[in-house]
Amino acid sequence: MFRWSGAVQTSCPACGSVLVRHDLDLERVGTVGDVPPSMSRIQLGTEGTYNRMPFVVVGRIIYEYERGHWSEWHIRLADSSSAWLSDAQTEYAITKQVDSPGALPTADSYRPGQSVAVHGEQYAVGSITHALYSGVEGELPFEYWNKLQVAFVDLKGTGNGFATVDFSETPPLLFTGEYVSFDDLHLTNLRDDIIGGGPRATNVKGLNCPQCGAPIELRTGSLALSVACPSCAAILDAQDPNLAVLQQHQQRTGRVTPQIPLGTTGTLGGEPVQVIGFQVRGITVSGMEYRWREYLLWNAERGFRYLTEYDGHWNDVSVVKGAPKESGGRLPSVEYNGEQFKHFQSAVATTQFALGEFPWQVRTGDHVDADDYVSPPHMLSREATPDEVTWSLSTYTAPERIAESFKLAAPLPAPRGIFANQPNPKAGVARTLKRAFSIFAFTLIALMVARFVFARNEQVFTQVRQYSPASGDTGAFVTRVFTLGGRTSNAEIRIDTDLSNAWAYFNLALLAEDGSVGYDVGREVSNYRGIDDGEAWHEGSPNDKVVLPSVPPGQYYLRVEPERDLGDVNTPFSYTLAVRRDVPRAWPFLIALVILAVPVAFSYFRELTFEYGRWQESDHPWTTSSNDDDDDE
Amino acid sequence: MSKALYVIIGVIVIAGTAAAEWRGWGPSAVTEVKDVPRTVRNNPGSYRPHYTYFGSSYRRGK
Repeated sequence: MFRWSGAVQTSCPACGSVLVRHDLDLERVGTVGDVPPSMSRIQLGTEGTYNRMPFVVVGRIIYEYERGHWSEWHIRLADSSSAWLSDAQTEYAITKQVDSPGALPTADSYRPGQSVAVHGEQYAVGSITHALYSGVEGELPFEYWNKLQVAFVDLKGTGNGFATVDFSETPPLLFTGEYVSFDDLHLTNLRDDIIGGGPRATNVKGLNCPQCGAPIELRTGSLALSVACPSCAAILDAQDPNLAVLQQHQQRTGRVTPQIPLGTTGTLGGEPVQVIGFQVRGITVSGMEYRWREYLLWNAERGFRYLTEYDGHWNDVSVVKGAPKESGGRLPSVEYNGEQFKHFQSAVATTQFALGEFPWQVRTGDHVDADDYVSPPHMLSREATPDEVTWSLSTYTAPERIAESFKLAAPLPAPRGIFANQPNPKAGVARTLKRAFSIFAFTLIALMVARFVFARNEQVFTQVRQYSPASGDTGAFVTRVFTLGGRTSNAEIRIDTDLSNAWAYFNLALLAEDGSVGYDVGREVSNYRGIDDGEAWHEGSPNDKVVLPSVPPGQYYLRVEPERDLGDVNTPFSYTLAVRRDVPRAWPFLIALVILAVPVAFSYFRELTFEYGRWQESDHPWTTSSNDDDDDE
Repeated sequence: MSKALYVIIGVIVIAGTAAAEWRGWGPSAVTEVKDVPRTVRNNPGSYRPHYTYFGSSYRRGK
């Protein structure tokens, strides 16, 4: 019985016969063997929604590749169209076949990481997979039961865009769609025999290491491709019923004990996870070896994620579905989800030690080309092998949070040094202070403008005098009484002289008429100019002024006594005295501005010091040379 | 420095600046003298300034 009118092929769940429909006739074209065991919770009859449209799973094609098996679930949507739900190690994508894909390149012309245009869209080649057909079940929209090896090229678009070129037919088939999350599909009628909720698999296989006899648990069941014995650290083939030894010794490092023991369960980002694998990886830069530790975490519905630790710095790492957009330039960068990441470091990362189980064939000595791009607290890492390019997104996580997530008995060591994507603890401070400073600066400028507009700035007295010592003038005199009005404020005394190549000294006293208070001040006026060696020079000024602070209002007069240098004592000169009341000044506001700018500048200095330390560890260290292009971070 | 502390300092600095300008406060080499003799108006040469100017070679305070 066909559940979908458009189905061309179905298989009998009882006898394994493959039946193909020709109009009203059914033809038995062959048989299929047992369907390989699966850790997927999806099954025939599983229902869900995609883009708000209900669907039901009606068929499946199973492939085997180097990482195990993956399923292409054939789904029938509510509008009677069909699509494919790809389920590879809990990484999900929904695609639909493109009717007229145009000319597609041959499989061997693709290279991982290569940018290609397919059906009007830009993609990056994610992986080239040579898979073995393993079986079918349920209903399919075409005949598909007797394949052998099939090549697939997976293409990653921007965001969650995804496409795959299927070379099982000639010409090849193109499927386009997008990556989806398990939760977004709102799946029902799932298999319950796999998961009892959370990461704990109920069908854990109990095995013994053929090398040392120690018991080994496979928590991810058939998803595990290799397992490193927790006792002797031999790496075993998890797909082999007898756990064949793949690698006997791991001599690159001594035995390393994970800080989070294998099998530990915890909750990370609201998601229950279990530590199933641990490896030590390293890079060598300028002859120095840097090692970090990676923990492989497993959640049966949401798949794998990682924790990395280097010198006490922890990162929560997830594989990125789409392909970040790469751009060149002086400092290469990539864009992902609207976030710009700067290139930090490129190196060859080598696996040096492994424990636990892995969904790939782990080996010490495995190496990948790794490129890190940072945008704290995030880091995008690109790892490339000849067959695959994968991107992962790391989020810097405090060790306290890791310890709390896994309920570790002892606290984790404090971080040492500065890590590539460690958030700058000073960055927020400087930005916050800068915002407050902007408001303060605006206020100060507004106050200064208001002060200059509304200040009294009134000239209350002026007098022209001639000083002639030769005629017996002692110079000392008092002015008429004038009024300093308004509130207590400043008063400015200005002296304008006609002195040239001479100086004079003025003893000034602003005295209250009632004798209650006086303000004494002395001012030197000095004005010289000349030509030395054909070059004109000028020193001093014929004018001067002094501001008397906080002078109460009242009646005042000036007592003035000029003096001259002895060489010019008989040369008369004239001068003008002027008194102004409530004179506005700019410098108090400017000094206030500088005082308020100091904490902001200091915060930026501390922030830059942190960034300097960060980038010193990168391929682009900051230098003090102004000609170096790398110090423009 | 926390934002709160900076805001407090900022408010104090701005308020102090505004008050200083309003009242005419400021640093000065001026010497304030109380109870000036009334004879100054009749005999200006008899007045003895009270300041001391160290900016050059002058030493006042006769």
